[in-house]
Amino acid sequence: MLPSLAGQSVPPEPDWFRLCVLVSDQLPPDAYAALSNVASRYNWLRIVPVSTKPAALGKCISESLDEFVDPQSCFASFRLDDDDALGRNYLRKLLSYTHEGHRGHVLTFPGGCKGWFDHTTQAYTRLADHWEPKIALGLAYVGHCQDKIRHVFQLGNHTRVDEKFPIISLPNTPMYLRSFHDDNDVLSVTETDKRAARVDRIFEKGQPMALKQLDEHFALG
Amino acid sequence: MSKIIGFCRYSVLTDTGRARQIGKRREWRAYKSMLLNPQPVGAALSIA
Repeated sequence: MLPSLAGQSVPPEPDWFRLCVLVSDQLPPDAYAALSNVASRYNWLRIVPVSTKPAALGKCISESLDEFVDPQSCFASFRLDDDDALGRNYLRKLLSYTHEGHRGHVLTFPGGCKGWFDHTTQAYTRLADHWEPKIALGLAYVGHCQDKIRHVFQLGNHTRVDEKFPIISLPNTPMYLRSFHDDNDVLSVTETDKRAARVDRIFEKGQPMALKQLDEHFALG
Repeated sequence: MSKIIGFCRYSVLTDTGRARQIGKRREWRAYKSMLLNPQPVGAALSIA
């Protein structure tokens, strides 16, 4: 995930780009230290500990915004899972839509890839295209600090975001890489055969892609 | 240049499976994050 951001066609700089990694304040010290070590390589990354208290997440996000964005200007917020990646032109595209004219709009990137990541070989071994409008991965919102809705996590269920907000679909493909692997939430079944069948179903929904296309679309380090 | 801010929920591996440890207190047995491996995207598995 981090290499895909660092390798954007518009290289992120800390004066205009920030990634907040939200962690629990219950994170064990050694895990926090490992994360901090990684974070130190990227001057645009911040680790944000979140309390276990109710509503703490929203408060932390809000404080992160206040600390970084200009209160008089539009900005974009986006969401990304830690096992997924974004296409090389994601930030370039996002920047082109981050202005007053699109204030209050949701940006969705429906076209992407899904890849099977094999923990044993530490590599992607299967790749297919993926089409999913309003997918959470890379979903973005053009916000303004003076508005009631300021950031992407205030939009509610991403699958129904078009019911409440104007939405702009940017079908540049592929703009994200959704990783599937043994620890995926969606594969949380214990029986091996059922897992395999579920994985097959997921990948058969897309057109197979050559693995060599990964480097073309994503900076994976 | 306009500002862009991203949010990533750090996920972990516990004895009950993959979880996003935000706002919930769990017993930690292991942790995992793709963030820990700079190449390729997802790779690290660290057992605490």
